Amino acid sequence: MIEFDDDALTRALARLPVGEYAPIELLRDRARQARTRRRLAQAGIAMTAVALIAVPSALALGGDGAGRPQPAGSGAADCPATFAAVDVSDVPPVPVDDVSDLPEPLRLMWMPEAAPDPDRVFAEDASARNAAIDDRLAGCPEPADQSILVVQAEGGVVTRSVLILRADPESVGADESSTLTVDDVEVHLQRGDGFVYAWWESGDATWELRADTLSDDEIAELIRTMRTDGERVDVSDWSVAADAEQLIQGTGRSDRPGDYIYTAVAGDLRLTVTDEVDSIWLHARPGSRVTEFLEREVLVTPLPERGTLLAWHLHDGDTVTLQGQASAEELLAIGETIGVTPPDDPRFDAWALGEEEPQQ
Amino acid sequence: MSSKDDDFAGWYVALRPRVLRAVTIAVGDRDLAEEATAEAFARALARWPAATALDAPVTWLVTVAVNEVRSRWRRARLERRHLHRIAAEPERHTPAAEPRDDALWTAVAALPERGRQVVALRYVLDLTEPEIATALGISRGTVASTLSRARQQLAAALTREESQ
Repeated sequence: MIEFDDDALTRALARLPVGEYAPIELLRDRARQARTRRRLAQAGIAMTAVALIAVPSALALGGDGAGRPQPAGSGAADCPATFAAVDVSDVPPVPVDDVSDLPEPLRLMWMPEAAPDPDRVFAEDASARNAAIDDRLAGCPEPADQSILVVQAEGGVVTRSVLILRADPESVGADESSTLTVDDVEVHLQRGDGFVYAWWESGDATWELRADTLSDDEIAELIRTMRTDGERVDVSDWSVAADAEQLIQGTGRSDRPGDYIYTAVAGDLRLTVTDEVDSIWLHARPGSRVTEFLEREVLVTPLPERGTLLAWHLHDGDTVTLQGQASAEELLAIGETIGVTPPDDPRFDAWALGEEEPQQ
Repeated sequence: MSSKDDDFAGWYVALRPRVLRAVTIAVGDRDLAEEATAEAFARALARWPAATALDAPVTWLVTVAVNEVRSRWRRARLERRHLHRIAAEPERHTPAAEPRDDALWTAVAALPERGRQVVALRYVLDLTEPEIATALGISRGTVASTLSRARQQLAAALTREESQ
């Protein structure tokens, strides 16, 4: 047993070198931006909220009585535009203490003979955070999932994908490398090899775009032709969408967050299960294709030097991914064996409390 | 400069040493800790003077900073990492060279995420176990067992350091 002195540890930790303090000017800039964006977002939402509230009111007049009740005097102007804009940073997700606390449909594992036993198995529970989101949305219309995914393909193989979504104004803007001016809209761009990220403000909304490849001209054309129709994002006049294999409205990317995320890791094999129902096409990259197993569609994506990624919905209400250094066929063979597993399966003895990936 | 600015500046100067140290230990990465601490103080300033009404502002700041790393930044990093895997784009976040590669820091960084958070709240912010349980939304038993494991690991590192 090691002799231990709490005071010695306190003193030693107090001597550890830490980083630099941010200049106060930087904090002022960030705070100013945050306030400006919040005002913009609230102004936008106020208009959206009024429109959404008007619908149930009209229905109520017609005797239907449908629609979400709005407390008298509720401040629609304070309503967030997206789930991401609801500030619940003071309510963290918590580790799931025991595998038996994980909802059964999410308690998945491959058959023992299909792959090695997991080294680490863990899960996070965000239900308290989501309850806090509900509390903070009280009196507000539920934020819409304003997102659209455009997937181009040739011969069933994806050639590129573009995700466009309404964004939280406070979450955009990091690491921009250039700007592009489209009429009176300033687009902030970051480009990498096979990676484009952009955000811009249009009217009272902030939009974000993620794509594999997209030229400046194509981005400019998108901004000039994109419209919103209620909750829908209309890109029907955009040439990139004209010949798309998939055009998916409401991808789930901006939808209500799930309560649980569960992970099992065995070497380079990683299984992730959430109770979010995101489109599997969100994982599409050039080279992805859809195949079928167990009467369900599974998206198969080759990852250069990283094996393969599978994404599918095993049950209604979940999204499952399986990634590993293996061919598509090998991974599909493992994926086919994945199913609900009893909590007393000895492979769950590796259960850990929120032990994420080691820090880099 | 307004008196509001002066008030915040004084608050920032007074609180930042403990907050940055606690976040650094909780996150196990000095670069991320700098960024997250700045973000937490900026959020407080954006809501100023409401932050002055907080019962435990240091705990609030540390919680906000740690959750920033856990949620938005980690998600963004994972997404970027995922994209980098495909696009072979270099990582944008390159951890800075550590000023000291001492045994204690290595042991802190090697602790599980929850262990680092508990250590930071216990030994830097001097919170009690019930206060830590409330701050992290976990049971007191989990705090006690996590702290016990972390103390053993850090004690071993301290012992090695002192014997060198």
